[in-house]
Amino acid sequence: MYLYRFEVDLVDQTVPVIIAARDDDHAFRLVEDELEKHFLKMPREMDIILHEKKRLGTGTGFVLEGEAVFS
Amino acid sequence: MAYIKHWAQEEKLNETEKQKLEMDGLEILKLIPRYAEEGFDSIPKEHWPMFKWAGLYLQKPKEDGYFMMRVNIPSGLLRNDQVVTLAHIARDYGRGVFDITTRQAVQFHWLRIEDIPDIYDRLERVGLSAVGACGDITRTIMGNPLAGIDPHELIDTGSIVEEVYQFFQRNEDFSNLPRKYKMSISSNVHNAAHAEINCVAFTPAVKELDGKETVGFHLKVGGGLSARPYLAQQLDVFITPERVKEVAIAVTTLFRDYGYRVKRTRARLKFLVADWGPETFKEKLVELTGPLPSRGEDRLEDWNAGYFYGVHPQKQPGLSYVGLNVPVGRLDAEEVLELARISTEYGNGEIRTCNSQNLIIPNVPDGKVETMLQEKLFRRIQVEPPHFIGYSVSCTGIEYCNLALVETKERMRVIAEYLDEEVSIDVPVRIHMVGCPNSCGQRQIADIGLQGIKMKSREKKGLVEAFEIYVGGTLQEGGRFNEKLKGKIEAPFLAPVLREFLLHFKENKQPGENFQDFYNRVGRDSLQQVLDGILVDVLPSAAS
Repeated sequence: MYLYRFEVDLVDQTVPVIIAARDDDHAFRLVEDELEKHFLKMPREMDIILHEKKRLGTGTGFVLEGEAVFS
Repeated sequence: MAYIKHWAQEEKLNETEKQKLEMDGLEILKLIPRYAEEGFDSIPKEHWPMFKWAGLYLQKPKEDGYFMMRVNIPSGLLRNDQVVTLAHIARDYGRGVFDITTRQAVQFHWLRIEDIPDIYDRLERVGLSAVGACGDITRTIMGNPLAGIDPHELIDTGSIVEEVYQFFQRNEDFSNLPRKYKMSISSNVHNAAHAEINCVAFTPAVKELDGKETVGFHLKVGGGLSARPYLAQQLDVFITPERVKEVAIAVTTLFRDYGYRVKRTRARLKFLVADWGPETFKEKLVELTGPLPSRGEDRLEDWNAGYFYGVHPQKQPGLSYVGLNVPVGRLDAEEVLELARISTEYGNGEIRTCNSQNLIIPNVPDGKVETMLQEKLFRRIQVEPPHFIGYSVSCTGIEYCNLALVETKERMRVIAEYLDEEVSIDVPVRIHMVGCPNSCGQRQIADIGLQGIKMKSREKKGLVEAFEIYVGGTLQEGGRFNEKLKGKIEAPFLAPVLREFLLHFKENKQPGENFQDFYNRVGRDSLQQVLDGILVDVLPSAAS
């Protein structure tokens, strides 16, 4: 298993998304699942960008810094 | 053990630290012969991480049981029998793949546990070792690949590096450090060993001691790239050559005993140096070494980024060294054997590895140089390479690495060759490609850094590989890491985007101006505007 760090570029904002998944394809699918749960209306125009993955274990995590968090 | 592991009592040790207290990394060496006999399936999963101390990583997928092995090459110096041995290992066990790393080491792939004892025997017979090439330990020591033949070194550091390396090799007092630990020792005035990105670095200096000008070293500590890069800071000390080993041991002792073991992400020496500051670090250091003279006169002049292309006179009159380009650091075993033959026929059989993933053939009598350059091998392994393939660096990428998001090595080679056909320019531009935010390809110090991402875009249904661009990295004058430009470039468009970007550089630079000076003159915002314009022109999605 891996822990993935994504950024989702929407028309008006960038949203960081963190996902645990077994592989890259699975992770991308789970991002969309999470977005569907999060947004009342699923954004139509978006880019889902995978920036980083780490082996998943106790203590694995990411720091989300800068534009992606505060924009 | 000769020392007390006071940290063993710490309550919040991370899991790796707990494991290392149960089993020291070097103990894996005793188990390897049994595992080799019984096969990969006999290795308990909890022992997999310990193989790093033996210089071995499991390739992806780990369950398939193939290893990557890294072999230490201190200072990059290789005798002929060592070169031949390495080539034979690649040929016999590693599917012919022979990679030179950005720490002057050599890497093999596709090794099976059954092969390791024989590989170890072969290495040992010629005085080489993979032990400590990975793991929480002193890694191979980076040095001046021209040590001993360099007109631009204050002192020959070959024997100093060897002495320090041998002290730490298989030394159980220092086999459990908080994290990986990288050292460089060089007296080359062009900073050939990348002082600022090592945990500890000895750099050339002079000082008047007892009325006599003495050649020695300054000390930088706390550098490193990884996901959080830091530049090393200089301490106010001067170190004579005979005290280098003592100081290296003292710094390593401080790291071992005071380095952080609660979180692996804050375990590198750079975090301790950042917290203590250079003054406190110096105080702690001299508690171990006794008094050290204060700083002398720094002799680092500039930074050559580890490149030595062309034919150059050595210190020794009548002899030359020849700097060669190995495209993105990858050779095959037959090429290495051919290099061994050529270096024997024309030189003294040695070759030397560079942290730019390249090679040097030293000790060629001046009268033999021209004939040597006619060798067929030098059509690919070039002496005066074009400016893009000659200055391209790449990490291993998704081909072998579990954490890479994209393919890098072959892609970088193809793009660099394309740029050489399309853009003729009077200065080199250093381009480094990496497949993730870690730093195996040292993206942060490149003129242009390319970092791989994976993308599902609004226009395309499937996943696509893409890149982000960073500009302006250097180790000149203490160093500066490159900065990201906005914009994501799908992999198929990376080459044409770079072409336009570099043509802009070419058309707007002053004669002889390199990318760093250009970047300093025009600034990041200007380059961002240029990239924005290129993306509109080149990317179909941006244009639509």
